[in-house]
Amino acid sequence: MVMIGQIVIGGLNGIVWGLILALITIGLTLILSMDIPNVAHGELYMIGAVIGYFAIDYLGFFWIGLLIAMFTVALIGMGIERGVLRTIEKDPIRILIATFGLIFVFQHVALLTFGGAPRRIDPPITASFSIFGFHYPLYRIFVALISVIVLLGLYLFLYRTKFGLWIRASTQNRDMAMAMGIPVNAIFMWTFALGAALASVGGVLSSPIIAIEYSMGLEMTVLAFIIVIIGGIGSLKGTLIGAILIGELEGISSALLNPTIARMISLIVLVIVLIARPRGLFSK
Amino acid sequence: MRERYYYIGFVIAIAVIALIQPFLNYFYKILVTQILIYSIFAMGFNILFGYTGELSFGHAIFFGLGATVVGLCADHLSLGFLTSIVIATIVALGAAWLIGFFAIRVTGLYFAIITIIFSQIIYLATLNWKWIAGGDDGFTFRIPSWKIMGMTVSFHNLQIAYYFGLLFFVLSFLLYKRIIDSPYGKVLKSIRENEGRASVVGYNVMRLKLTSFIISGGFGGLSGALYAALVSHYTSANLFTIAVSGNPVIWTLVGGAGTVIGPVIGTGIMVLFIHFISTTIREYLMLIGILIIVVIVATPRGIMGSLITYYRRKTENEAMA
Repeated sequence: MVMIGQIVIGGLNGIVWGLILALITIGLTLILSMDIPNVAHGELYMIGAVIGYFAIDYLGFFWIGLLIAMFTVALIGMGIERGVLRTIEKDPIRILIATFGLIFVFQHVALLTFGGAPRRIDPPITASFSIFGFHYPLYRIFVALISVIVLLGLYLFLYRTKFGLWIRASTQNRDMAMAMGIPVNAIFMWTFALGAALASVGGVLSSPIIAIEYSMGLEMTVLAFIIVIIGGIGSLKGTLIGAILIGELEGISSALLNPTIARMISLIVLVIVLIARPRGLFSK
Repeated sequence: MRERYYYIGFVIAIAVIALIQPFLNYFYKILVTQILIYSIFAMGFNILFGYTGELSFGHAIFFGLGATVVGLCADHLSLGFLTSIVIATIVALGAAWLIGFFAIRVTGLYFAIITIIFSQIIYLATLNWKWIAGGDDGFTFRIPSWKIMGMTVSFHNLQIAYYFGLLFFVLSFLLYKRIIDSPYGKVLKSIRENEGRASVVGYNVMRLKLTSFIISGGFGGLSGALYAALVSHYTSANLFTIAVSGNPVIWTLVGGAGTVIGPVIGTGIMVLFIHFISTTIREYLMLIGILIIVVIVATPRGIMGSLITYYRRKTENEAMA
């Protein structure tokens, strides 16, 4: 009975964690579709959580802090896109190295301002309900709901609005989009900002669940890229399914075994996918 | 003719490094030994990045493995210096083969991303499973001394370490130069310049990239093994971090990727630079990050690359006039 309870709790955690992962990795997929191999994506998630922590600590309102973190990280994203990546565009290997350099900058900015010790944000909803004899916090269910709403909103934005159409056109064929009169350069900046904002939302939402630490960005980068490669690079559907899959896998295996082994299992899944379907499960 | 000057310069440089040893104080002896050993790491990285055009952000795996295997050999098996180093290098070559085997399946830059994934997960494992490298605390060990004709050669002696570092640097450099100048090295360069064309001409690009990654990993393992055996006598999970993976990247970029001597010069400059700033600035890794971005945006060719371009332009202009 305890075992089943553990699995159910692990499974629930997996869904919540998978939806948070989906927010972050879909942000990454949007950035990747512009040929920007952004290995600092996890750092945007981390810096989002750190800014959220300070904002919530100062203001006392979780949701306002979430918005502040989102807009600040979007601005930082724009700054990176304009200041660094735009100057070396069309040279992905240099972009990759530049974003690698950003990892060090973000990590140590966080270390200087936030410190090395892990900290948590208090959840805005403290109620819990009981399931299989375990108390399960209501906040996590709420996070899952918010993630679903954001993902639905993103879907409608990308597939039902003119701006979304522009994003899809610019990332699919840049020159053609430019020839059609789409402001591709501006679109790229906004898309990067959108991807960064999604990462930061994931960061703030998850920080009452897992503690904020300056080094958590890199771990997220690793997870996000595992998901992206498993799902198929450039496929939004694949990313979503990959995120839920990895979230579920890590949720259950962390509950039964331990987090290090959970990460190993994700690596093994990645390796199997690389051997069986090197282009990912949902590649076009 | 140019080749001959090259070797004369190399011999003079080595002679100078060998002769100044008695005049250096304790810290500079360690620094020079470090630079020599780290240069091996950078040279290996340059074969992959500078000559093949593939990136790896996971070279800490090989450096850390080299150091850890030497530590385990010395600690558990009391193996000698040379045996440990050979075993460590072989283990690093094997790890590079295994990781490369999977990583080579994705196209383009995702190769580098797979190396990050592997290195971070291996770091996590070494951090949490203390039997590998002692976790965050690490462990120290003693390398057994040699006894030749009544003399004791201790690897904990700084002068011995200095000259062994120099010896291995020279051997590695000659091997590295040989690889680059060989037909194999020229094929690697052709992959860097135009992968599609190299493939059409009939080269197995995937396999060549894989071998380049393995060779590069082997150099990394040797470097890590020497570092543990001669300089630190210590290994820990921290040798597997992203900061260690970033080292050869910045060394090679500063010196000049794709130039023979660039990585060595880059290593020398950066090790000295970090030595001087880390005493005053605690968060020097942030500076490294900024430096990586500045170098990649401003001068992607690095010091030697810029010098070579300048020299070529000058001779071309003279030829025109």
